[in-house]
Amino acid sequence: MIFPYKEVNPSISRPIIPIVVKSDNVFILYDGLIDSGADYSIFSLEIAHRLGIKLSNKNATHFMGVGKDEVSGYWGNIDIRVAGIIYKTRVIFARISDFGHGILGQKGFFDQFDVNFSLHKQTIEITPVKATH
Amino acid sequence: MNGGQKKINPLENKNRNQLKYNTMKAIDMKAIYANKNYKGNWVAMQDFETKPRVVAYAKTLDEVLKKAKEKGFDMPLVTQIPKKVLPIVGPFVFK
Repeated sequence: MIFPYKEVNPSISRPIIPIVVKSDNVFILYDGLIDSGADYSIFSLEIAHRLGIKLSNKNATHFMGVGKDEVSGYWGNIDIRVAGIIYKTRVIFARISDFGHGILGQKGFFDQFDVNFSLHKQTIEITPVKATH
Repeated sequence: MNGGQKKINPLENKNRNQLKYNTMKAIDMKAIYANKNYKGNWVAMQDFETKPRVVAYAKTLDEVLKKAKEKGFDMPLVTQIPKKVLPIVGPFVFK
C-alpha cells in the first residue's frame, strides 16, 4: 500500500501514516511517523490511558532525546492495524508531545512491513512481511 | 561518438512526464501545524487522506475525542501538534 508524505511546514515533509491502535473495544485512529532510526515504537501515554492498557512500574523504561532530559516510559502490549493488517506488538508509552505523532520503529513496525521511502515521489510503500495474526 | 548508444537526457519531456506520473502529492498539514490555537494541543481531523480539516482540538486526548464525538465524528484521526516544528534528527537514545 502506498501512502503520501505529510508536509508539516514549507521545508519539512515527513513519512507520517494513519494507523489504528486498539484494545478490546476502543479504537483510535492515530498518526505515526515511520522512523527506521528508532529501535522501538513509541506512542503517547494518553493513548494507553484511553485504551485502558494497564502500565506498571515493573515495565518502566527510560530513554533520552538528543540534547534533552531523560524521559520515562512504560512497555505495554497493543493491537495495531495498518493498511488492513492487524498485529499484536509491544511498544513504549511515554510523554512525547514534543513530537506530536507516534513513532513507528524497528520493533512494532519494521518487523511487520518492508518499507520503501521516496522523498522525491513523496511516497511511502509498505508491504507486509508475514501472515496476519 | 558513443558507439551508437543514445544518451538519455533526464530532462526530456517524456522522462519528466514519467516522474510526474509516479509522484504523489504530499498531504498538506502546514496550516494545521502553524495554527496557534492547535500548538501544544491534540487535534481531531476528518478528510485526512486528502485535505485534512480539524473538527476539534483540546489539551487532552480524552477531551478532543469527546468534542469530536459531540459534533458527530466517531473516529477522527488524532495527533498532537507540537509547540514548535523542529527538524527531528535521530530522536531517541536508550539508557
